[in-house]
Amino acid sequence: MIVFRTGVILCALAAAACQSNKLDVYRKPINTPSAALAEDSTKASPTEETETTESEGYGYRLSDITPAQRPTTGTVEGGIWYQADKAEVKIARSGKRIKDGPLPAYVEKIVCTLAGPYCDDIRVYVVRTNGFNASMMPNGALIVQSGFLIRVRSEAQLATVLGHEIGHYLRRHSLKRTKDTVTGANTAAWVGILLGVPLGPQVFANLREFSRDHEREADGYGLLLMSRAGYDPRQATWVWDRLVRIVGPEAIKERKRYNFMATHPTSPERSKALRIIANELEERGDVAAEPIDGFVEYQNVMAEYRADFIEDEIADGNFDELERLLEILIGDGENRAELLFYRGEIFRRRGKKKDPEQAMFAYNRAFRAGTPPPEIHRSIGLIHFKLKEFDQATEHFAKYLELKPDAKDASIVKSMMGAGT
Amino acid sequence: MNATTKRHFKSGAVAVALLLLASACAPYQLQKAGTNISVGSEIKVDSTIDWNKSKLDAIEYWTADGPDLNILMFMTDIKKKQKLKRVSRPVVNQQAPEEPESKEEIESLTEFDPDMTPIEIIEYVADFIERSFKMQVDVGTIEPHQFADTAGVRFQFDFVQDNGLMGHGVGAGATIEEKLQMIFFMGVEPYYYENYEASVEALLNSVKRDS
Ligand SMILES: [Zn+2]
Repeated sequence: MIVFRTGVILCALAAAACQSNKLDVYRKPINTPSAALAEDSTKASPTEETETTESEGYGYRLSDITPAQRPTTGTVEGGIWYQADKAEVKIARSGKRIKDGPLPAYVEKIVCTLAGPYCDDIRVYVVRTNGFNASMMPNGALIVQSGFLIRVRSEAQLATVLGHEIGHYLRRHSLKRTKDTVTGANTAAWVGILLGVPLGPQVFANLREFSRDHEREADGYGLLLMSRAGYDPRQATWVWDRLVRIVGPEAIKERKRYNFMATHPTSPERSKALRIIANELEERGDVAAEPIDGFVEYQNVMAEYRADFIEDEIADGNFDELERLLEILIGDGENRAELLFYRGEIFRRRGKKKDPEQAMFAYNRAFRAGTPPPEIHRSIGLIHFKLKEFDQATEHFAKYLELKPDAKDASIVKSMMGAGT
Repeated sequence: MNATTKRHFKSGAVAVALLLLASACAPYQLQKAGTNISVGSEIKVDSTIDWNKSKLDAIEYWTADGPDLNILMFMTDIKKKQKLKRVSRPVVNQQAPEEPESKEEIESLTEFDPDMTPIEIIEYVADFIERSFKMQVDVGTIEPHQFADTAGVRFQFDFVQDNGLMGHGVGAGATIEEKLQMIFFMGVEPYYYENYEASVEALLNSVKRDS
C-alpha cells in the first residue's frame, strides 16, 4: 500500500481558488442524507436524486450504498471490490497493523457509533505508519494511520475524520472516481478491473484520490454523523486549523510536496464551510446540549502508544513538523513530562549547532512537568559526555541504570561511565 | 521431499531469484569465501561462505538469497557531516520504489560526527535502516565490541517490514580515522537470518585494519 508521508490525504490544505456554491456540496448530505441514515424518511430525498450531476461533469447517477450491500460479481463495482478485498487481506496481515492493546477496539467502537446501520460493513485497521492519513477502501476497509492518531487531540476530533471517511463509503466515491478516470486511453485498466487482473498500486492510489466535490460531500457527512453521535460539529473546523498549524504555512503554499493537496479543497474554504454548516446544524437543533469531547478518554488510550509513535516520526527525520506537533501536544496539557522529553530528543538527535542547549532546556522542563521516562537520564548523560563533562555524564548514566536496570544498552552505557578519569 | 528434489527446488528458486534480481537492479558479482577482503578504504574482513555482491546506490552489499531476504551492508568511510540518505532499494512485490527524499527532508537528517557516542552511532544507523527499508526497527542489545584495532560498538535489532515479514539484524562498527565503518546484516524469518548467523558472526569478528 502506498503511504503518503505526512500526508494530508485527509483532505487537507490545498491552495487552489475556490468558487461559490461549493457550500451546497458540503451541505448536501445534511439536507438529503441517504435513506438509511435519515431519522425521518420524509426528510430524505430519494437516493437517486442525491448525486450532483452538474459538478465536474459526472454524467451518471449512483444511489448510496445500503447496509450489508455488496456489489454483484461481474460488474465494474464488483471488480473494484474484488481487488479491494485482496488488498485488504494484505493489510490485515501486515506487520504494521496494530492488534494489541485498547486502541483498535476503541477506534472500532467510535466507527460503529458513527456508522449506525453500516457498522458491520466497515472494518477498521489501525496501522503504525507516519503521516496524517486515514483512508477508506471501496469495500469498507478503513485504514487509520498512527501518524493521524497522534495529531488529533480528542475523541471528538478523531470522530470528525472517521465520519468523513465513512461518508466516502456511503456515497461510493471510489466507484465514481474510477468512472471519471477511466477514459478511452486506459480502457485496459477498466477491463482489468472487470477481469480481476491485479491492479498496480497507482490505480489504487487513483481510487483514493477522491475529487474535491467528493471531499466536500464527505465533510458534510462527517458533520452529520458526528452530530448525531453526540459530538460537537465545530470540532471539524478545529481539526483542520490544528492541522494547518502542524503542517506549517510553507508546506501549505508548496502544494506539490503533498500528493493530495492538488485535489482537495483549500483549507480556508474548508474551515469556513465547516463552520457555517456546524452552525446550521446547531440552529436546527441537531447538536447535543453537552457534546462529547472525550479528551481524557482519548489521551488514556493513546498513552500506551504515544512514545512508539513519536519514535517512528523521529526515525523518519521529519523534525520541523514534529517540533510543531509536540509544541501543540504539550499545549494540550496531558503527559507533558513525556512530551517534553521527546521535544528534547528532537534537538539531541538532530544535532545542529545550538541543539544541545535546546535539548537540555526541554529536559529540564520535563522534570518540572512530572516524571519523564528513565531514558531522559541517558540522553542528558550523552550530552554531558560529548561536552567532555564526564562526571555529570556518569552521574546521569548511573541514574538511568538505577531506574532501568535491565536496559538493553546497559553494557555500553556502563562502558561510558567513568570516562576521563 | 528427498535430498535430490530438495536441491533441485533450491537451485530453481535461486535461479528465479537471480533472474528477478538481474532485471531489477545492479548486476551481481560472486564474492568468494576468503580472507582479507577489502571493504572501503580502512578495513578488511574474512568470509567463510560465498555471497552475491552488488550495490544499493553507493553502498556495497552482499546477499545470499536476494536483498529482500537477507542483506549484509558495508557502510564504510562515512565522513564528518555526512547524512544517510535513503537508498533506492529495488522494486519489490510490485511496489513502486520509494520517492527520493525531498530537500527539506534531507536538510533535517542527522549528520555524522566523529565525536558521536556509540549510542548515537546506533541511532544514526538504525534510523537509516528504518527509512531505507520501510520497516519498523526495534533496537535490542547495544554493547562494546572490539572492531579491528578500535573500541567499537555492536548492536542487535528486530524488524517488521511493511509486508508483514519479520526478522533480525546484527551489526558492528567503529569510528576509525574520523570515519564511521559499520557492517550490518539482516534477514527475514524463519531461515534467512539464522542460516547465516554463524558466518556473519565470524565475519564481524574478523575485521582488521586495511593498511
Ligand atoms: Zn476524503
